[in-house]
Amino acid sequence: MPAIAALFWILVWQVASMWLGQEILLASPVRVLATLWEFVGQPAFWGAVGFSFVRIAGGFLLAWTMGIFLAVVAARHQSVRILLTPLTAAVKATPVASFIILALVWIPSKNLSVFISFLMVLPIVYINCLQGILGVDAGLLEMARVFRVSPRRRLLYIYLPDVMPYLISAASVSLGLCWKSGVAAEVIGLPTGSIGESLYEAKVFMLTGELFAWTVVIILISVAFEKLILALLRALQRRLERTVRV
Amino acid sequence: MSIEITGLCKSFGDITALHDLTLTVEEGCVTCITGPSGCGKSTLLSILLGLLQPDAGQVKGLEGKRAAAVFQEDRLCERLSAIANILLVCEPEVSPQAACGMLERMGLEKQHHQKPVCDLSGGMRRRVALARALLAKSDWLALDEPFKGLDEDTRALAIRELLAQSRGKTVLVITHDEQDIEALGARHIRLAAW
Repeated sequence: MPAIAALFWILVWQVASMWLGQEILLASPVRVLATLWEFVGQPAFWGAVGFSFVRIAGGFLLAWTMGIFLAVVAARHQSVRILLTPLTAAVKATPVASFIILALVWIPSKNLSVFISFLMVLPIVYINCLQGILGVDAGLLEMARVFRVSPRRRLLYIYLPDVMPYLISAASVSLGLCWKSGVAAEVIGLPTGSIGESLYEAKVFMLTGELFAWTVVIILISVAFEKLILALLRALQRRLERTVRV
Repeated sequence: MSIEITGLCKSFGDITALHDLTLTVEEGCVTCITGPSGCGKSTLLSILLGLLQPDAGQVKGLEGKRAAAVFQEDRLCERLSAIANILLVCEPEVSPQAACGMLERMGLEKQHHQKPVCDLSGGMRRRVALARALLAKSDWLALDEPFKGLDEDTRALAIRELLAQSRGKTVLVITHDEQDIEALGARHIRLAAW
């Protein structure tokens, strides 16, 4: 059914484009597909995809590492939790464009998307992971203390099963966001050889077909990355749930 | 190793759970503690297990000793199987077969051993919690209503297994059931309500 719905809207798009009759205003799906086909044969296209992917995914992974670390520390020390609360609230409330323009003053445009995707993902991972850790059954933790269960077993069989749903939720929210904010940073910072730069150039030269094609590329990479990360997390969760040997 | 409890006090806000409690739990014996609800039986066990700090008084004889416990609630990892819950707290030398054997002796059929414990009934879960306490490496046992939810037959099996496995160990049992005290051949201490 979702495929049929998607097909319906592509059809609407095609009809609207034909009715308008001006590719410069609304490129047709056929035109976008043809442009994408041209892209695939160009090394510069793969270069731009690689450039942006490495940086945005890098920022995402850095945010996950830092977010989980901070959540673990904050769960143990209330003072850290109190200290981080206004900071995460401020990051969540500040428009991404403000951060991008501000960060351009400090960071070379080449690495701007790393920082911006890191900054946008960090509070989501931190808050979700912290909620998960704080929600772990206190009775089970007392049981583990009495029976002197090893830290490794506590992590695998008590903490992770409770924290995993929160991490999956954080992943599904942050994966799309890191691509939106990362590409926005590239469009403003214009690092050479990035998707953002190509998107900007397509807009400047009124190449609407290319503009749409790059947008489709961003959506495809974002969705593929999201599916991959969520599949990995769910596989890990299933493995934990299936585990009978301790 | 006898457990010497002297002048133990514990309050939660305005509510006094224990007041100036003094008693001795004899070494290598089963001791049952009874008393009306709210008289501080579970609080006493939590203090002995090191999970609560007393407001006053002292406990001697548990220094460096390793405890195993059945808590008021089962405190099992819901997604793990009965066997995995037991092995989680045991030393590596305890085999799945040993865990399986103990569960069977307590009347829990083999078909339930590999199921996640969230799919087991209350009585089955209680037996898993008791088997876990009996197979874990310990110097003494703290059992808070360990036979809660068991029918007469499985209760008898569980008592028999408890007596067989805890021979020579100090065992402290909280119970409301006079028959349990008799079946365990236990020393009886009754706490007064506050």
